[in-house]
This record gives sequence, structure tokens and C-alpha cells, in this order.
Amino acid sequence: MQTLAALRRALSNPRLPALAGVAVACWLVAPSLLVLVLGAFRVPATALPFAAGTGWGLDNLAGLYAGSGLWGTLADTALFTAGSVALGTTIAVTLAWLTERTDLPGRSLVLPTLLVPLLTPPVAQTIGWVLLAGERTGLVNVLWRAALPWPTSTGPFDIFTMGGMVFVQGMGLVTLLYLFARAALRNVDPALEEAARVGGASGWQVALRVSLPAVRPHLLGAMALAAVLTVEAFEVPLLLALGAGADIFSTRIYYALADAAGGQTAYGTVAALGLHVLALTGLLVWAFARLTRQGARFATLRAGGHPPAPLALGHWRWPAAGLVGGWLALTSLAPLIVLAWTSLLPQYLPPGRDALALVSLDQYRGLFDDARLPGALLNTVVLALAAPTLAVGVALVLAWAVRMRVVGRRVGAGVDALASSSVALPAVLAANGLLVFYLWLPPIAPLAVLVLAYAYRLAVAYRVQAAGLGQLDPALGDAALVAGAGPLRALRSVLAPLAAPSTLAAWALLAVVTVRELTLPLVLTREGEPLVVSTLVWRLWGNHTGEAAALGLLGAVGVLGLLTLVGLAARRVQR
Amino acid sequence: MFRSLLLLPLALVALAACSSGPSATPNPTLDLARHGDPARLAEGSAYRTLDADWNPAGLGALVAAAQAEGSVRLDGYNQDQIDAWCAAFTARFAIACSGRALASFQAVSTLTAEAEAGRAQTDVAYLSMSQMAAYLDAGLGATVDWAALGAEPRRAWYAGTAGNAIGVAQSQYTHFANTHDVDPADLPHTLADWLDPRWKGLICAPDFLLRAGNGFLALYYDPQEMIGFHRRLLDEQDVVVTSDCDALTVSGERPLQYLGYGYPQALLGTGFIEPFWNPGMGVNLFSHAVAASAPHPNAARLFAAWSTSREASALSWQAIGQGWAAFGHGPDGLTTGRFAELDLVYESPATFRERAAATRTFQDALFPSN
Repeated sequence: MQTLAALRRALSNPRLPALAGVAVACWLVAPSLLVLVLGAFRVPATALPFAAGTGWGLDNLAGLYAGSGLWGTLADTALFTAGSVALGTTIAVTLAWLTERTDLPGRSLVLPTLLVPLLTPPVAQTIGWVLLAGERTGLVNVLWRAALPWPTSTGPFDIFTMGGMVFVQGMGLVTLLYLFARAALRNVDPALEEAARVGGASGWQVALRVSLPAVRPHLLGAMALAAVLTVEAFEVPLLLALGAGADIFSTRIYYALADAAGGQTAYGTVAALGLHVLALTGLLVWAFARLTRQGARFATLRAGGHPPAPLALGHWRWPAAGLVGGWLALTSLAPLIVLAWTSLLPQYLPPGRDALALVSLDQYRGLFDDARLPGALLNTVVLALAAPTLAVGVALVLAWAVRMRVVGRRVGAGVDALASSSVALPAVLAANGLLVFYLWLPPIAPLAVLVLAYAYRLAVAYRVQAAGLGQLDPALGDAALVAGAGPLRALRSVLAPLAAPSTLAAWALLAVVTVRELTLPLVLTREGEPLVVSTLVWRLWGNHTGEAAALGLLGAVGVLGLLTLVGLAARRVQR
Repeated sequence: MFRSLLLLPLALVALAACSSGPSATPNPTLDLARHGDPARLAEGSAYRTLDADWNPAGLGALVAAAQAEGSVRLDGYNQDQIDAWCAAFTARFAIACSGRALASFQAVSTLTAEAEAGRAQTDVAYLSMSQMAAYLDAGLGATVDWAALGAEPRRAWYAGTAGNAIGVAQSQYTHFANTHDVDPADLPHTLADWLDPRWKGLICAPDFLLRAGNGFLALYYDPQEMIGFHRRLLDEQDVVVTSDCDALTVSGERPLQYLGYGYPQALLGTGFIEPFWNPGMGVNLFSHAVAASAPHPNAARLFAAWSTSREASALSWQAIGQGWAAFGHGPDGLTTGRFAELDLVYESPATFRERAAATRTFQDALFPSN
């Protein structure tokens, strides 16, 4: 009886769920970080970090500094990152301003259209860009040249350049940056802009001198996050960087992983390179957190809730709509259309009579006859349900513990850092660390390993949940406790329902990331079992390109269905 | 400050565009004369004449022991090939068979890491010669008496350390041309021809094969000349090096593929992609080894021996375009001997270590990771 009472007392301790959350977060995030940091100092480079015969040493780092071109790598990485973020931000801010502050026709279609790129696998999307903007046969170049009065056989665009890489990566960032810019503009008090207008400022002056400065901290924070995503990007460099002659961290890591001489992976070199990437992304995450906090200080809530009067674009209205529509059609829809076209052919062929003669649904038939498809679909569904649920659940508990001051301020800062840390860890490095970690553990079901690995993106869920709970008064939790509810009940019955919209948003975001994820399963399962949709697309791409495109398209339809369900659930939650 | 931030992208994109052009390099004279010893480099071509089929006579006890083990697990590079072999093996011997395709560049690391962690489940490994040597060097392969298993003993080879392997398929590096854009009569017949300005902007190269294939070229030509030649090729000809070259070749974006591989139906089945070769290109020997710690050693030995049969070769040839050339399962040049005129470099126990070393030198010079 006394034991039971003690157990009940222990369970009513609000620190217990917080402790459990920290333990699970450590399990999800710490192995990758530890393997990375320790692996950089384990020699020889080609052995697993803690295999027999390995020891401590600085050879990996020394080899890196003694080798050629580390500064060149830094310079190219910086150029690629800064260019992509700057381009993506410029487009995103322009679109956000047009949709939130002007009478642009069809502005409600911009957000759904910007979400379309999320439907297609990143690899397929990059290949789509190659086929669209290839120097000789890219559709955009062909159409452009057809419009020129003089004959020319190449250009004007060449995707296999640093400019091309910046363009493709920058386009990939627009959706994320647009969401931040749009939310930030919505939070600006319209009274500020109204006051400026009453004071005689023109629409452009209001935008440049009032609206944009007001959202600056939020935007800079979003740019830091976008920079992290660019530094860790793997697909664009893998397909374009070598052709562009660019030397960036991702390609160096790839060469360390992929020794063409038949030797073993240089784990030590990967870790040494990864340490530098981690320092860089860690700095960016710190900047993101700091700028976001600054943004919160500048946040202004709308009085009365009425939106500002939209700026009349006048005779620019329809040209602007045409420009935005054309741009969105090219950047969001065209890669999907290329994928759909390829799914009707055995291999990608440019549109023409030869290609039309080969158009059929054979690729879909071949795909449905593939015995691997049902397993890959089932595994993907299991992962898309389990991994986000795990990550979001842990993130919610941690965000609650920090926000409701369940743990002290210093411990809270530590929990915040732990939960946010995985955003600084590129997937390829996390995958390498997790591979080593799980190899040294007793065997676990491979699908369970993937669930735990996918949930390493805890930081994404945590940041969204922390922002959602940040809008709630800590007194709500205190009130529930005073009213006699235990901490878990307070979380379950009071805070979790209030934070449901952000929880749902975080879950949906992670589910989409899970379906599209390629790096983690490619490294962890080494293309073996369990197969998921993204690895099956990758495997099919070489010899069965049409079937790969068909599967990519089916994946897109699946993600669309998932987002629709989440949207319906969100409406219900809001009601 | 914020407005200047908005101007930043224009400056950066302009900078990026400016920085992407090929660098101006001096134009040194190339010495592309033959360098390696012809007899040594052709040693591996002997595999093309070993046409004895697998002889299963007297293996009843092995078959029974293998059936008692119940299953076999194969690790290789291509799932289509593994599935084709497994289906036929199971149908013939009533032994369950499964397999896993590993990324070529991770294969040895994966197998070694799993073995070091005590988690190896591999019965039979299918690897290229240099990767098989690394596998055997790590002590992961068993020593098998292949003659006693009915396999042609001259197909077996040792890496000089523990364990041995047996040749199962041959496959060759291959250039491809999109004949819609390039006249077959004009194709680059020698390496030097690739530097002709008319091919500028028309070439792509698969990055892994570019590095791996240079190990062979460096045996035939002078290794340092090869580094210089490829530096020029990349700088002067605006070659696109990428992980996915096929789409560029088929679409005509880069109608010439430099150092592609094998006999891929996805490309050749289009009807307008032609394979062609230059002297010095490599012919790989892919081999099977029985894992030293195979969970099913009898099934593993039976499978590896059966894989030397005409039947298994035909299955592999149909599935992925790789088979035993002496059985007629290979591209025309390999099976008829036409490649002999081309002077290709055949992988053999005499050269594979040197090839691996040359590949490493090449990739460290042109594609460094540290």
C-alpha cells in the first residue's frame, strides 16, 4: 500500500515526464552527435570508431588540414549557401508581400502551389530541373531560343554551374521562407502601416520602411534556418556540384563515403569533415534562436483583428499576376509535370514524335507487378505514422517542461539545446553515426531502427511546438495543477488541446519529410531491407526510370492525401 | 541595412554565375602512348575461353546438407540479378534464397562493419575483384575447393591472403552515344579524340565510374598522363560529372557518355544509344566468395558453385546484362573477341591491386575528400 502511494506520489511529480522526455531525446539525438565528435579523433580513418585496433589520434583532422583545398571548400560552400538563401528569401518575401499586402488576383492560390514541390522526392525534383534547364535540350532553354531572332544551339541557362546550383537550391527554400515571411507579415500591427500611410508614405515606402523592418528579425532567423538546410543539402550537390566544378562539404563527405578504389568508407574523414559542418550549422542554429527571440520581442499583435487594407497594384495588377503565375507554374508545377511525362516512358525523352510513339501505361503496370512495391508502401506508411508521432510526442513533453518551468531555467536551457541540436546535424552525418551506433547494439528490428532514426529530426517538431506553447500563458498549467490535476493530466487535458494546431502542423511536416527522406534509409539499410518508397525510387531510377517516375508520382499523390487529411483534422481542431 | 540585404542576392548570383566557368589551363602535350605490359594486361582475357559448364555430379551429399540448412543469403550489387538467381536456385534445389543489393561504394564497408559487430548474415558475397580482394584481405572469405564442387578451377583466384573467390561474370566499361545527336562515324576512337573541341559541352561522365574506370586506364597509359588528360578533359570540354548521367545521354543534353558501364537495356533498348569503346578501358571480373562465417556454409557453397553454371550466367545476362562471356553472355565484342583488337584491360589477379592503387591516386588528385 505504501509502495503504491509512493508510486502515485512519484508519478504526480511533474519532473517525471520531463525526465522521460529527456531520456528519449538523448536516445534519438546523442548517438549521432557522439559518434561524429568522437569519430573525428579515432584512427585509423577507415575503421569503425570503436573497432578492435583503433585508437585516439589527430590524424583525421591533420589529414584534412594537410590536404588541398579546405579553404576552397569553405568558400564554395559559403557561396552556395549565401546565394541560395538570398535568392530564396528575395522570392519568398516578394511573394509574401504580394499575397499579404496587395490586391494581387488569385493570391489565395500561391500557398497551395508553393506546397506542390513538397510532394515530389528531392532527387526527382533536381533531375526535373536538369531536364528543364539543361543547356542544350532543357525545355526552358529550347523555348527561350525559339523566341530569339538569331539561331543558337545552347543556353542561355546552364544548370551545371554554381549559378544553377544556387537557383535549384534557392527554389527549394522558397516554400519554407514564404511560410515564415507570411506569418511574420500577418503578425505586424496594421496600425503601424496605416499610420505611415496617413503620414503620406506611398505603398512602396510603407513596405520598405515599415513592413520589412518590422519582420526583419523573424526573416533573419528563417534565413539562418534555411542556411542550415543548404549546408546539409545532399541531393543538389550530388547531381549538380561535380558538373559545376563546385567543391562543397557535401561532395567531400560523399567522396569520403564512396571510395571508388574498392576500399572501405573513411569514417574518420567523414567525422572530421562533419565536425566542421557541425560547427558551421551550430553557429547558424544559435543565430536562428537568438534572432527568433529578438523577433518575439518585436512581435506586435493585431488590435481588433482586421487585416490592413490591401495596396492597390493598379495597372500592375494583371502583369504581376501573370508574372507570379508563370513563375509558380515553372518552379512548382513543371518538375511535377516532367515527372508525370517520364512515368509514361521507359526513359526520359524530350517531347516529340519519337517519344509520343512510346507513351503508354506500361511503367505503371511494371511497377504494380513489382513484388517489392507492397512491402515498400507498407513500410513507408508505418514510418510516416510512427516516426513523427514519436518525435512530436517527445517534443511536446520537452516544450511543455521548458515553457511551464517544470525544470529550472538552466536545466531548461540545456533541454532546449538538446531538443534543438539535431537541426544542426546533416542527415548524412546523422545516418553515419546511427549506422555505427546500431551496429554495435544487439540486433533490433530494422524497421524499428528506421523509426528511431527518422525521429532524430526531433528539433523540427520541438521548435514548432515551442512556438505554439509560447503563445500560452504558463499560468494555465499552474491553474490546472492547483485545481488538483497531475502534471500529465494538465498536459493532456489543458495544454495539449490548446497546442493541438502546432502539434498537428509539426506532425504533418515530419510526416512529409519522412516520406521524402532518402539519405537515412540509403545509409542505414544500405539499399537492403526494409525497403521504403524513396529507396525503391532510387533503386529503380537507373534501369527503370519510367517506373521510378511513376512511383515518385504515386508518392506525391500519397503525400497530397496525407496533407488533405491533416488539413481536415486541423479544421476540426480549430472548430 | 535591410535594403542592402535585399541587393545581396543579385550580387551573389552574379558572382556565382561568374565563378562557374571553366578555368583557363595551360595546354600541355599529352603522351597517350601505351604504357603497360600487354601480356600482363591481357591476362584476364583468358577468362573468356573458360567455357566448361558447372558439373554437379557427385554433389548429392552437399545438396542434402544444403537443404537441411534450409536457406541461403546473398549480398551483391543489383537486386534484379539477385532476385533472378534466387528464384532459379530455389526452384531447382528447394532451398529458400534471399539477397540484398548494396550500394557499390558501401559494399565492403557494410560487410566488414557487420562482421566486426558480430552481425554478419552473409552466406555468399558477389563483388568486383578489387572489392573482393578487400573482403578477402579482411579475412571474411572462406577457402573453398571449387574443383570438388564441380566448378571450373581456373575461374578461382586468391588475393594472396586468406580465402578465395570464383569468377562468375565479366562486364566492361562502355562509352555511350546518342545517335540522334552524334554520327556513329564520328565517335571518339581514342582517348585523345575526346579533347576535340567539337565535343565541348556534349559529354557527361558518371562520377563513381569515372574514378573507378581510371584505375584501368592508368594501367594501360601512364598514370600521371591520365591525371593530366582528365584534368584537361574536365576543364576544356565542360564535362558534366554527375551521379545520374543516363538521363542526360538519352535526352541529348549530353549525348556522349564517357566511361559508362556494362550493357544496360535501359539505354540500349531505346534504339538510338550506341555503345563504343577506346583502348585501355577495363573489363571487370565479378566473383562469388563464400563467407568465412556463413550461417549456411553448405547452401552457400552449393549456391556459389551453381552460379558458375551456364544457366546462372544466362539469368544474370537477362536480368542485368552481365554474364560469363565464354558462354556467349556478354556484348558482342566481349563474346566474339572483337575487343581483342581494342586492347582492353582485363581485370586479373596480376593487376587488380595496382588498379585499386591507381584509382586512389586519381581520385585523390581530382576529387579529394581531405
